[in-house]
Amino acid sequence: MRVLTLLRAELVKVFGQKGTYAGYAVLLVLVALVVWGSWRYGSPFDKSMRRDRDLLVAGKLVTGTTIARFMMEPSMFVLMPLLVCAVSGGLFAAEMQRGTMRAILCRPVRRAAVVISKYLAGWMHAISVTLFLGAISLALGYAVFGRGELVTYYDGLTILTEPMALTRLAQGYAYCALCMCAVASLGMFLSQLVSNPLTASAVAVAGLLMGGVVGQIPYFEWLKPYLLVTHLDDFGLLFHSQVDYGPLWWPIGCVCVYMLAPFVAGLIIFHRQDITC
Amino acid sequence: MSADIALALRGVTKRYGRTHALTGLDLAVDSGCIYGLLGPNGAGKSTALRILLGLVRPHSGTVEVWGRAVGRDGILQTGAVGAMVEKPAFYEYFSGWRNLTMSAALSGRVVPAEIEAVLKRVRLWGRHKDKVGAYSHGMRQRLGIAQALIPRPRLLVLDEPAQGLDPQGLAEVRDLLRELCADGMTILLSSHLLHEVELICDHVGIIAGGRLVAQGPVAQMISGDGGYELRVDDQARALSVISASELVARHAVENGAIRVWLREDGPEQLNSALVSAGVGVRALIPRRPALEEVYLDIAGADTASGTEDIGQ
Repeated sequence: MRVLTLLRAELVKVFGQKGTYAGYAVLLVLVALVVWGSWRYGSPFDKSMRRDRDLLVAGKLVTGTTIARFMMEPSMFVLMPLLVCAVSGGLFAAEMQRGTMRAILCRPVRRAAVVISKYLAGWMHAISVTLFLGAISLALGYAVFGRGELVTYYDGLTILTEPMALTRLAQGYAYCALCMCAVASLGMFLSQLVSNPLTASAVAVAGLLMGGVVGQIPYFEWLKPYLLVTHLDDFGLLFHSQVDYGPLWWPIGCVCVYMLAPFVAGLIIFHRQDITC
Repeated sequence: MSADIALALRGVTKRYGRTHALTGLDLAVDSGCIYGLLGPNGAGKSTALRILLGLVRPHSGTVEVWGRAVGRDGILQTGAVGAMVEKPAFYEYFSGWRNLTMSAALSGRVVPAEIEAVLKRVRLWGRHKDKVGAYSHGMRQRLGIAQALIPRPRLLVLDEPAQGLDPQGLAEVRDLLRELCADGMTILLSSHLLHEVELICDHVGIIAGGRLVAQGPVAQMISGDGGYELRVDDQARALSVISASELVARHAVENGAIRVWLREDGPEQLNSALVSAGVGVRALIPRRPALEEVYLDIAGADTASGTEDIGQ
């Protein structure tokens, strides 16, 4: 009961700030640019399809589903984590900085309930940003290019019928949302450790990027399967002509650990923390 | 242990690294009184209030509310405590009304009529729809008090409630706290405004060096020998009479007047001696020490002689 009250208050706080909507605005502008580019220059996948290949493709290459699929690619590594961390990094640190955490804890609420509500709010924001990207890409893509099959080229030319493409997009965005929840967890955990929201957001994104760099260093290659950043683009497995769900369990498990471990650690830390701000 | 004691801290210690913030603090607040917690900066007042509210975990000691020991979240879980610790903090981008409704919701219920009444009581009704970001320091302070009063608590803990208020605001807060106390509320406040504390509080406790060095009813704390203020037409001659007199234990010149402390209470004898010496006595007024003087004496001394109970 108290968790629900706190969650409602958290959501009011998150979505009551104009700054939160800046992230959605950025995504809207980005999707609009991609749609305009695709309308002007053709499929965003065109280059990869034609690179070093003697390939002739006729028919409608760009559809609403193409845009929704393409938008996952450039957003997941830096932009989405940045937008997610900009909010999640402030959930604890900003309250500490303002002194409002003190005011919350002067109410008859349990510390565990405060942590649970904040993590739930952070995850809900992360999911909403991801789904917004999917929804707006699909909507603008449909509005400009209309319906049709999803034509992509990764390990080969893949053509998915529209119903199948929509199912894969739903699964893909669900996976992305899970990844962004893990990123949000990281941001919120760091937000518990520092008193500056900007620092928490920046360190969370820097941590992801550092993971990317570490994964590229040959003698740390063994770490790669355990790094969150390695799994941020595993949604690609869902867009093969035949999906083998087996290899997806490891990334999903890994992402879930990244999502839940900071939460559990955050619960313990917050329970023991002295509120001296 | 008595049910008449609303709140008690017993043997509370707290360290921050190597710094001892509290060293065995014992503090008891009677039910239905206004207790002022005084002390210099860094004495441990805020730490004591934070421990009381569960914001900070003590290394040892217990907190008891109405005779019952409570755990870390205990005192707040009773729902009977309203608090404002340090400067009041709000969501700047929300209105005063919204801040209060959000805060009230965390206590389990939102009664708009109750919020309206409290806002009127702290003179913020009419500005309640404005964003808190546009509030002055005094308005924030009053909103902080309003927040602590929703829902109506049995015990109110206020850290520097009068900080930054104008004279009218000070008088209003003073009246408000006296009204609440008259209604049966127990109030624990810390303040640096000693004159206000003297006017508002029934009891005071002085913390220095992390422990309580004195406590007692305000009336008795300031009932000590403040001496007499003497105004005369010839100060030099009066001083020579006073210096030679065996009636006077000590004397001082303060703000153009002479202050004398007598060995035995007999101002009429001093008056006779002065008049006999040809000194015109314009006034001989018994002086009561202000709380500030008592505070400076006690906190300044900060002796290791333990707690000084005054009038108890």
